[in-house]
Amino acid sequence: MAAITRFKLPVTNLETERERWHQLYNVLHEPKPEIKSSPRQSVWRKNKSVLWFYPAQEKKHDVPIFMVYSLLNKPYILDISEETSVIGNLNKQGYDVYMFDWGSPGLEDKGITLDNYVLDYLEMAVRVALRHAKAPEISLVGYCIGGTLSAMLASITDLPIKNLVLAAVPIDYSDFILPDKWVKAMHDGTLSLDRMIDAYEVIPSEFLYTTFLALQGFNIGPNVNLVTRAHDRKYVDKWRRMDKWTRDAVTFSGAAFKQMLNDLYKDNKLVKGEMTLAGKKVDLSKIKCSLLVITSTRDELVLESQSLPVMELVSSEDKTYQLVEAGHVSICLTGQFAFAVEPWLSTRSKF
Amino acid sequence: MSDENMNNPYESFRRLSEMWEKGLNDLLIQSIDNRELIRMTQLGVGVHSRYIERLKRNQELMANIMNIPTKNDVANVAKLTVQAEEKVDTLQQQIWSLQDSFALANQEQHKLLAEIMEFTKQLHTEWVHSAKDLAEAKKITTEMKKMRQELVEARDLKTNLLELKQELIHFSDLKNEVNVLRELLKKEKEDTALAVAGAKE
Repeated sequence: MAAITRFKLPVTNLETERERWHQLYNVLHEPKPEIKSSPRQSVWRKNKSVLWFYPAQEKKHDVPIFMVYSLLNKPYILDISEETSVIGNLNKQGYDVYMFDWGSPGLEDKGITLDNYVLDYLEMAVRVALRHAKAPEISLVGYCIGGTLSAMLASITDLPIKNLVLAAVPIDYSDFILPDKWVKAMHDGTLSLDRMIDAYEVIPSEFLYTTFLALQGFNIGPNVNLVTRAHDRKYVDKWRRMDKWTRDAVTFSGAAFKQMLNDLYKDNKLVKGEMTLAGKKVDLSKIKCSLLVITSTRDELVLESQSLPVMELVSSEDKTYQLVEAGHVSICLTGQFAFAVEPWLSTRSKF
Repeated sequence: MSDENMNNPYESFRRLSEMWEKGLNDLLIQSIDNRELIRMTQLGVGVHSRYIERLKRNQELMANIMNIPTKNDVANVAKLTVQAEEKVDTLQQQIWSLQDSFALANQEQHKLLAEIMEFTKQLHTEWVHSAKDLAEAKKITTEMKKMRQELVEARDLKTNLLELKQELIHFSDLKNEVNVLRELLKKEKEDTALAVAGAKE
């Protein structure tokens, strides 16, 4: 009898259902949402890259923030909507923010290497930002591969980097998200993409998008989540923005891609201290500034074990490790990144 | 789980799909984690690369025959723009370096000027002090001269005083002599009186 009373038939609300299917219809038939950025101005341009400046609403902190996003995706995930914008929230908290958009390389950029990206693009952009801000020091915030490049820059530059924040950063490539035998095959050279990279010259965005899809396996979660919560307009709006960003992939310079696969994924040179950029040895122990490393609990693209070794490799006395309840992309999508970084930075942003 | 969630068919569907997704992904990872597939992939990558290479070669060939620019030609032109940009960047850096040098030189000049100003101020202060000291010294010299004059006068006065003292001594001697004479006169008078009295008797 008790079992009978506990069993309930699924009940659906007509209004909710109407809204759900109406929203789903819109998702399928309406154009992708337009992403409006926070108020910004371009400070410097080089080739396809742009340095954007997002002024603080009311400046409360002396040291400006310089954000470096991954080379593999477009950086507008950091400013995807007014409510959840990482950059917008940092502006609200009184920080001047600079964000470096690498741009999407064309065939003419096939020869751009990581050396060029770090020394000719990133270092110059930080120099421009320092000059523009008239600040003696800056906080460098790198995300994903952007974090790896930021760490490389911090270890070889003489620029005044006061704080270094590395989020979801792959540093140690002895292990990554591929199955064990694939990782081993990449390490011993059984699996090499060199010829394909040379053939393509510039890696097409479709290739990168498909690779990301493949790495996620059966990734039906987002679609199921959409159907489950389609009656919630806010959720649908967020989902559509995320969907647009996921499909809006970038191309990748062949030379840089090859260097990344061989020097980082295959030979793990960064951790071994064997990496060189334009003849300069990338020695992470030369990083002495304050360091914050953030990893996400549900990150399925960059493992925690890939980020953690940086804590031991640097010489910084002031170093903090923080684990955030989020995924690789959702930490940015939800704006959580800003709230994870802000408390740490706020105590370290005075000249 | 709340009753509402229990009763929501979509929530149940989501949970079920989550379980299926995880299970299928584990199965996928297990099934692709083998050397044969890796070898096959490597072979596939090789074939695909050769295909792309041939495609590009033919594309170039066709474009050459048809005398139309290829993407490579456009890229080469675009590269020139990038090179020009790089040169502008180099120039910008040199301008910055110059600006910094000028700023530094300016700063040092300002510093030097400030030091000169400070030194001049100090000199002025010293000058004023010296002028004051000089005036005082002059005053002192005048006073000294005056004092010397007074000293000379005092010396004269002393001489006069000495003379006066001498005269006073002389006068005192004279007075003593007068007193002696007065005593003698008195004695003579007494003697005379005694002699007169003696004679009367």
